[in-house]
Amino acid sequence: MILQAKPRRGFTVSAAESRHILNSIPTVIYVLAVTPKGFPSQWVSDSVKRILGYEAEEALAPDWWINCLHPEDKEAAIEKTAILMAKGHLVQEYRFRSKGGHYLWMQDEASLLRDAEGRPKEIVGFWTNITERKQAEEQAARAREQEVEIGFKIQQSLLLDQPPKDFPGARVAALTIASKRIGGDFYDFFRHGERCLDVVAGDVMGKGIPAALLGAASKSTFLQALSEISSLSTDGTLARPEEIVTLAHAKIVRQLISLESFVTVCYARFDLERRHVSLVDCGHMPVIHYRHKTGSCGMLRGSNVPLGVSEGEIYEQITEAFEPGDIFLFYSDGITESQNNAGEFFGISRLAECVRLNSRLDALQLITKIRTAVVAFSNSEAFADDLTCVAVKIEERKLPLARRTSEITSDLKELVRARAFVHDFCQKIPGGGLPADKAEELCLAVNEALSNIMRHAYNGRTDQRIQIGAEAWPDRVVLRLHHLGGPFDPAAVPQPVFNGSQENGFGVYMISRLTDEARYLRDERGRNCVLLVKKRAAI
Amino acid sequence: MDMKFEQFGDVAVVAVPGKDLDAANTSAFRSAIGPLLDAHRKMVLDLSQLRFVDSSGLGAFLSCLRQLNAKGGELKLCGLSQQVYQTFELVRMTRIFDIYSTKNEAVKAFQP
Repeated sequence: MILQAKPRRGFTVSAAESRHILNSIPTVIYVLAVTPKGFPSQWVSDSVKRILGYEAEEALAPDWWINCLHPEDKEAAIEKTAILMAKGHLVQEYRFRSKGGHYLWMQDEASLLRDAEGRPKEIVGFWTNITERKQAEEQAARAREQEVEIGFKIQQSLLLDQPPKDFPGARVAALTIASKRIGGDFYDFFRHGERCLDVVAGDVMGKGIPAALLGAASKSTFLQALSEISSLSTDGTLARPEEIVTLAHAKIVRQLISLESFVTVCYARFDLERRHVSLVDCGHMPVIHYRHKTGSCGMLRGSNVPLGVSEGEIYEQITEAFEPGDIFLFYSDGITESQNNAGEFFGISRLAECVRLNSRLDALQLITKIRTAVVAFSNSEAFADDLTCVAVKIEERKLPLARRTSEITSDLKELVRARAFVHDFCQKIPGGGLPADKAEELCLAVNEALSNIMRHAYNGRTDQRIQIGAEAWPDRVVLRLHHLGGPFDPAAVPQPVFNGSQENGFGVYMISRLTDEARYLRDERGRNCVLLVKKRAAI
Repeated sequence: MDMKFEQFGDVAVVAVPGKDLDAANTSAFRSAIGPLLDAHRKMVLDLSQLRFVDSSGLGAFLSCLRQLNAKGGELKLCGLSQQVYQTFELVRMTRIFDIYSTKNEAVKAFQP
């Protein structure tokens, strides 16, 4: 049986009624003729007046449509009529000028009608005002962009710490490639004197700002737990990683459970004196351990559950010995789960192989290689998930012959005390002091650098602190001046003039002449640091 | 800063006091020597007490030289320790200043 729709009995529409209906719908209907010269308007529904403000007669004028198109959309809109002629149907969006002069976003859906012989006859279409939708879309896009930007800032400032640059016996480097949407990857480094270095690498479930904020909260919880246990210690022994993680977990577990989130973490303590790492793995990616002796990689894996899974969890650490030349790699699943065009994962074994092949490189070069390998594998730099990894390369532990620190205030009156400190340090180096002329040159360089810090970085404030660290090595003396004043760009200082016409501006030039190396950097604690190196006579 | 000076004819010999002239005390030095620079055209700065000078100290000496030169006067230096001399040399100030070993040589150099 075939059902046919029949007109409802007795339902007829008068011309006036149909006009009323056409005027009430939220769209403008139009009919264009198809002629060799173009598409002259044949008919436009009266709703054009309500929606765009034009009388139907105005809308029938030649070139009315083209003239009202937004200049930036005009070319594309006209070009697309070719698609309509070829495919018979076209939907496009463009900005269109209303009678009042402002532009509205219109969706234009047009169909080509053909005559009995199949020749194009006329175009029937309708415009819908989509301005509100477009504005909402733009707003959403702006919000997304803003989220990415905020996320990036959170990541850089709160989630990712700078690896220490000068830890004796270990080179540390970190890599981050931010994804299109921020994740909750974080890492942190805690130094315990010269002997132990803690590396904390974690990943919060989920994405977006909530994950990032949880990451920041988790990160600070570890620091809190560490300092709480340390302050209770009466004999100065360090809190064990398993104690720190257990306490940190107790602090944060309820919040994680109520937020229905969890955090995978690896808390590792490198003891450079005893040459072992104590590691609390809480469901994080297994740490890759490259052994220099065997030339092969192993995986370090604990059996703890992630943070936020169950209350009252006791975490346990495992211990692994290491030798100089060994490498430890911490990484987030963003790396191992990055995919190639065939849908394969980068995977742990590929990553371990990458570490093994580049084991001769230093930590920073190694992670650069890893980055290159992952980017080449996935054939993309835009990743769905954050890629983070931290490489720790163990070195022969060298300790300076002597090390001393001092602190002064940012008062120029302190210069004389600082010079005396440097002078005294240089004289008392075990096994022979720095020759007097070299010591005096170093004193003058330190004096110039400090007076720049006081006058420029601290803008003449006299109550700020400057830490001075001095180290003597067999081949050199290194001075570090740490401060929290403004950063300094020596490249921005013009070359001094030596003809007597200029009374100042010699400081930076003098420093560069008086030392074998002068660097201006930001240390891992966010302080600005001036590093001055004076070579000793070869021993 | 207490500035002592001796007069040899029309030449004023000013002893720069203290062992150090650095950013902390150059402004005191500048204000103390100001009246002497106003009062004299020929001056010798005796640096024999000085053991350390930094870039601000050098700047202060340059300022003295320029003030005297501006009114047709002259400045000579004497008594530089090896360390102070090396600091002058570092920024090529040994070419700008007339430097003598002793006070007498410096004063004598003013005589035609």
